[in-house]
Amino acid sequence: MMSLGKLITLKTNDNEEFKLDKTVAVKLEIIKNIVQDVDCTSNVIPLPNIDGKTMTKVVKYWKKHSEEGVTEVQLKNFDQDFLKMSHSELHDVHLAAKYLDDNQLKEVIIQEFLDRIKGKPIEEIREVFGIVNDYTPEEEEEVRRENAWAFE
Amino acid sequence: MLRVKSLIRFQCVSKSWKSIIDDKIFRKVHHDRSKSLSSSKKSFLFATIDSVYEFRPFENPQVILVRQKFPLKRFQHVPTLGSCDGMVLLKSHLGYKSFALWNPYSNEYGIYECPYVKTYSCTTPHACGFCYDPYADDYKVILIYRSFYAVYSLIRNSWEKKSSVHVKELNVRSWDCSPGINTENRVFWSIEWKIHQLVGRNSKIIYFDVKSDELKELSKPNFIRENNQLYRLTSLKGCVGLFGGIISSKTFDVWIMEQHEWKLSLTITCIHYVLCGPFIKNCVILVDATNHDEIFFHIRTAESQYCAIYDLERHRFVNQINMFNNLRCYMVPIFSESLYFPKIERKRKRKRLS
Repeated sequence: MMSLGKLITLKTNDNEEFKLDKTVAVKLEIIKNIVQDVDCTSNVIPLPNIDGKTMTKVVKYWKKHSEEGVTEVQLKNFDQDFLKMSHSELHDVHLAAKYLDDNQLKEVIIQEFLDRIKGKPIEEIREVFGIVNDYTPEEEEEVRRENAWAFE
Repeated sequence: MLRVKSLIRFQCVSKSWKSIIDDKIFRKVHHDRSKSLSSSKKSFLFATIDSVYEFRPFENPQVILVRQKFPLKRFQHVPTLGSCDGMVLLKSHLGYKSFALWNPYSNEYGIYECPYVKTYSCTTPHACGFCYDPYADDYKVILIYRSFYAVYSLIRNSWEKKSSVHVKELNVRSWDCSPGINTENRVFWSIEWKIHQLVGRNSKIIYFDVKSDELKELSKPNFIRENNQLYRLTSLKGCVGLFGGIISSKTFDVWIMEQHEWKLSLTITCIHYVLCGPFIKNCVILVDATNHDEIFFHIRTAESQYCAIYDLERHRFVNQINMFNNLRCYMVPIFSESLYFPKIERKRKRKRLS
């Protein structure tokens, strides 16, 4: 029975399984709802939108942040290391956090994205994120001219 | 949180980035977040010199961050009458019924005309106010005329004519439009035979209650009981406050109304050995608690105007800034930056400063 089990198993779309302490997992609204709503006697919760690679990162984050006696400084250092990933990996974790409705993780990732684009020249942002500039030179000049003060 | 300046710059990345940033829902979310994060309460000072509006940071008021010009000529060279959430209320010099709301960051604006004033009556409102209505997620402009007052709801784009016993006491024609003190989603004025911000023994404090759209009276604190006392309404720590004292004194008191009770916050020695009376008459508090524990005063006399910064820890004025060559400039504090402007269906042109 669910209520008796101490571990919850989360299964990603590429069939990777993650065993999580229930106290960690039920902190998340979505897991809590599944645990309550679905009769999952097998204790396995499928996560059809998340792959194993991404889930590894998410679980690592959850575990650290629910560790007992962990200090603010440790968490800060952990977050710093945790966020050292490529844009696409970060994007995947963001989607996972969104799906799992983990606001804290979502915030952390959005902040990281903001830090990555803040103050950067437009050309660099396009290059780093692989964005195609679909303005004609005249159009771009127009947008820049309209908002000249922001480029000073 | 991204700064408004970054957002504007990022419009150049691609068309899809521009359409996201232009999106009014995105702007509203950004606006609401920037309002809720106390750390992003921008200590920006908004000075107007001639018809150009300059953004200056409170920490360093000599620096001009941005210059912006209000696009319409008839609203240039006009005093700004207050701000709320990054939007500014302007009234044209000659117009007695039209006013403008402007977001100087996005340079979007709206012009509104009070429908209850007859063209030939030439009545300037005695007072005005601009505040946020959290119950309807709306913004309201209040114009107080001699025998009535009018409330304009920005989102609903509707006017309402109201009467009040307090307004009936105004028995003179007005030449000045006195801006109210906007704090805690209310607007405060002092009323005697006219409306202003100075509170003496014979005046009443009234406020606009945003929930009922009514003008109500705030019972006057019992520390104002003598004829020789003068106080000024202000906003402090997000509450309504009064500063002043005995006019012949060299010090003045700062009171804050917290949890329905007036509390004496501190006593300050007037700058330059000015007496309390003239000091209170000429001085407004622009902002308190910027990056440090400071109160930012703006003093305007017939000869000069300057800013004085009072340090709450060291209990003295620490800095005086003379940044005005022109006595005609005005200053409006702006506490949050955003690109949001409540859209109603009307034609709005966007022009740039050229």
